[in-house]
Amino acid sequence: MKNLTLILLIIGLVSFSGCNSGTGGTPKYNPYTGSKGITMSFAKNSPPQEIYEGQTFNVMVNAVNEGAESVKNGKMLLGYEEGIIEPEQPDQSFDLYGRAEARDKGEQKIINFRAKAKKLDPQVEVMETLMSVTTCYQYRTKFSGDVCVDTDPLKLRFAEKNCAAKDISSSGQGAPVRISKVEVEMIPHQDQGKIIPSFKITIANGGDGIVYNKDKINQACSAAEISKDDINTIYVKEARLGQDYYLDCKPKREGYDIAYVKLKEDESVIRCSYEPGIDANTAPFTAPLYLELEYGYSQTITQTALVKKEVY
Amino acid sequence: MAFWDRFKKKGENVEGATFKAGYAAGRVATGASNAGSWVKSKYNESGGARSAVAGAAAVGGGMILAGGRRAKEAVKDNYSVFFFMLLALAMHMLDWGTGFQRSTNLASVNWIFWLQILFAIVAYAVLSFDLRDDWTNWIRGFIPFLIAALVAYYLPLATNMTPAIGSLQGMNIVLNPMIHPVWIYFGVIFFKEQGLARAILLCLIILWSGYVLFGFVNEGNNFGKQMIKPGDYKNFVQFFVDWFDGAKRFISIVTTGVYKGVSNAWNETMYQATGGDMYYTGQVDSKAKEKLGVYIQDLKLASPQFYDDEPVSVWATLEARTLDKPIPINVACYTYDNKNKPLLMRDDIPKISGKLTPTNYFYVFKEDQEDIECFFDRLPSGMQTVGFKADFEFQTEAYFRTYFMDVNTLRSYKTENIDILKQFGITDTNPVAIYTNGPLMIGMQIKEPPVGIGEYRTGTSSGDIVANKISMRITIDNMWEGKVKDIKRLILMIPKGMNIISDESSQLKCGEFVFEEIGCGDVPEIGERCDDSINSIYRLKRGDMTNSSGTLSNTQIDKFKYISCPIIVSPASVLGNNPITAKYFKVLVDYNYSLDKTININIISTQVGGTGSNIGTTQFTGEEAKMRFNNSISDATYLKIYTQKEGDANRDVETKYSKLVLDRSKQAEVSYFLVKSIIKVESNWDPAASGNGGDSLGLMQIKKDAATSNSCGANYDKPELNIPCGTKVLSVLMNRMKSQSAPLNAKNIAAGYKGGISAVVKSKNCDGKLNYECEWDDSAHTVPNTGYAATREYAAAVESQYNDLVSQIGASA
Repeated sequence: MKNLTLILLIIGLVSFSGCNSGTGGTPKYNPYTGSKGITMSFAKNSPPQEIYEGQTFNVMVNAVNEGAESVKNGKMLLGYEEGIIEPEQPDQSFDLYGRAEARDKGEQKIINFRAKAKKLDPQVEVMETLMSVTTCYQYRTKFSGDVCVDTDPLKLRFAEKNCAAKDISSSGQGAPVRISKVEVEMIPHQDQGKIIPSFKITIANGGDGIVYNKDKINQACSAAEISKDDINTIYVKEARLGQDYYLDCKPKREGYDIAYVKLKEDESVIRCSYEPGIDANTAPFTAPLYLELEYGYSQTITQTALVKKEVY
Repeated sequence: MAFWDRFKKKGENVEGATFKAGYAAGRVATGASNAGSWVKSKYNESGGARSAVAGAAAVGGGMILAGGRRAKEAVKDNYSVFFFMLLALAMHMLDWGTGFQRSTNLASVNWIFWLQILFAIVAYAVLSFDLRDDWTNWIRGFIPFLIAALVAYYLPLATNMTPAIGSLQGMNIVLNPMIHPVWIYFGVIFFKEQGLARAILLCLIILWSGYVLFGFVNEGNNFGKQMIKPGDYKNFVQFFVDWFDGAKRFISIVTTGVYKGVSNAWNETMYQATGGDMYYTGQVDSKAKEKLGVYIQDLKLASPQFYDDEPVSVWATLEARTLDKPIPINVACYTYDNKNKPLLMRDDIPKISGKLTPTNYFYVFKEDQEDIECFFDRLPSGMQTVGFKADFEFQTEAYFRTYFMDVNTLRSYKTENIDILKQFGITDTNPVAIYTNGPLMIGMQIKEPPVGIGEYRTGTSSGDIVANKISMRITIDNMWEGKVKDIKRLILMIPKGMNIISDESSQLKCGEFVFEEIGCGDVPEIGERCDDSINSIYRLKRGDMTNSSGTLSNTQIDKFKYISCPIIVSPASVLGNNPITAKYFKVLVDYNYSLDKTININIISTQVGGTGSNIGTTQFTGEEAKMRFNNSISDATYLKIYTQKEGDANRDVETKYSKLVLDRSKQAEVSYFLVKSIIKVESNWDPAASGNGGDSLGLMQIKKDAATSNSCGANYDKPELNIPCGTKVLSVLMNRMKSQSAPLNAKNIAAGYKGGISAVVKSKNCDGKLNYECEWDDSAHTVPNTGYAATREYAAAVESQYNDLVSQIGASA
């Protein structure tokens, strides 16, 4: 019996020590998950459901950056009905830090719009008014995932492969625009000794807002004209395989050297490939695929309120 | 074969089936639970056998579906009849559930009207689908359906306007829901050989017979306010006169209503077909709790019955509510001269004004409720109409909210398939004008939101298209029963940055209307609610809109149904800094409105139907019996009794006419002593006596209207007619006093003879006394009752004379 207890104790100790001695502690927090950027909600009873004419009130918006990217100089705009509501300051700027390895929650701010209800017209007892808050900000999506560069897609060699090319699916990278799928293809180069790693990348708008050209995002929060070319437009800032292989992505906007994506029905596909090709004699290897997308994002929340006349 | 026979027979012998009856064509089967799937399956099943057409109709805004069913099965299925009727009832329940919405403005039809028509068309089309080879008959066959639909619409209106239905105490509440589902008739028409249908048909016949028999009596629009009581009709002649009057009126209402409704609908359709503007509707401010406007309510008669020799009093409640602007209201009441009494009330018919208390002018700041009374000294017998009229100034305001955005941005979003309204959380995708409660409806429309404004490029710089013109269309229509007498002011408030486009003559025109631009300073009463920085304000120039009397004619009012304003927009100013902006368009109308509400009164004649006949039907006992003619005294004894002593003036007249007094008193069963006493006090037996400025004539001083209503003849001043007339009046008076529990004695009867029936009803101010006896005119006994002073003196004089005569004959009197 004593022997059995000793054996169990030893097993327990070994197990415990094994846990602590493996890869070096708790896994790091990964902020690049989910498909949210900035989320907004009205604070409780703000704006109030019922407002009396002449009354000053607050429209308080609770804004949280739930994505992995920090926002600088974002814009928030109060939408109101001119004949009924008169705001003190209809637009405001904000900065919000995103989630990070060291921060499992993004920054939260209460942004307040102060407004006054105007007098109602004669004979009008009550009016329903719609108030909206629209936010516009620049954001980035960063994707990183290991892919297998299979230099022998046709299996002409006898040697066992280190890896096999397979597609990657993802539910989000901590941003409203997400790379939902990466399909890996190895295309033979015209130079027979090489092979071109090519990636068909599916990009989707995972949030409930609208994607804009990052350079025109401020226009989305103004009356300025927006071209259709600037709506649903995402630029591919960087596409890289490992440290050395910079990928060439298509399509490219006319006159620009940068690839872009035009979403249709909130989704689109780009192709990125390493055109110079990789020596086909190299053994298949795994390398990280890195993608960075840039865009502007805008979303709106609304709330109705009743403006009442103080009849009696 | 006749169309209807074919219609009934067409279900026979399809595919050689052996089934009994030929009414399969109309076999409509729809079950509440299985209608949809059943109809669909049977429709497929029936294939080419269209002989049995099944229909299904919709309820609650749903629609009519149709399916087929083999006639054989249909005949077997007794429940199909039931289902059809259930459906018809359900259709009616919808009408019921929505409160039988009918405007008493007969020309104004509503959605339920069109739903009934649609139901008729589709039901008929489905039921007679395979009979269209004979188009003439096919169209003719539709007429009953159309009639049924019209009846379904107009009948609740008619019963609501028929007091005799209401006289059966709230029967309208029962009748409207229960007997009006005319679709049951359809079932009866097609399935009358079925037992169930026959039973229903029988019930309907009974109910409708009752309605036709009693419904038209006392026809009017004060439904539920009057009662037919036992004794109201002493003979059938009067009953049928009233019935005929009511029937005539009912038919007139329905025919006029149909004519007006159809012609209005036709005119409107033609107007639009010929390029006219659309008629836009608005929605009354449903969020408002206050019932703004002026209302004449609760019209009721001061007494359950009135006679033609007494004052008539009608009560009503005037309610008024406003939010900001005080309302001045002028109230009047009237009746029609019998000679001019129209079938339908019209403004141009001369009227007789009644006296209105407490006042005919009200000034309402916020909310007021006032009981008013309309009083007529006398109204002639028969059906009379008394109307209350309230003329008031009122204001109705409407606002219309729509959304604007840059036209290029809008196009970009559309190209990208983005629903920008949804993106901005805007659910108001089809905005309608909201107008404040009151007589007028204001509808407005601008193109579908969001409205793109600005310039959009066409690809060539020279071909840029300017999208900065919009059209604002307005409809102003009368939704109440009254009349818009005048549009005093019409103000348009449109967002700053928008302006009405001026025409080549620099006039700001919206169709035929010319507007002028004004500022907030020109509408000071709006005060701080008007903001020049956000609104452009326009006021209608009156021009020659009014006629010579300063009011708008009907045609002029109709023009307000189609106002179209071309507006030019400055995009930068309108859009401001918002990607999408909500803008309000407002219309404010000040107008004079005339509201009219009437009540019908059956004034009972005091005529007793022939000399002496029907007099004295009321049994008098005890002391009251002394007021009857005493048959135990001989004629000779009676004739010895004199009011005029020997040598007094007119002793000879008394001698001459005592026999006539005796005969007529006997005939009218009125005390001989009382008649003689009244003659003594009234005229001192002077046949040429004339009082009240010539209005009262003869021995018994009969008034002209009393002589007329009692058919006393043109020469009623002559004793030969005057005495019979007076005795009749006395007899009727005594019966009425008896019915009102007024003590019958010489003094009271004399008071009633002098002061009318109102003099001898129980006083509210003095317990246990009659009106004429009470010395006070108020309950606090501070105001002396001087109105009956003469009556008191008169009654005392008659009583004294009566006692004197009685004493002459001793205890036997």
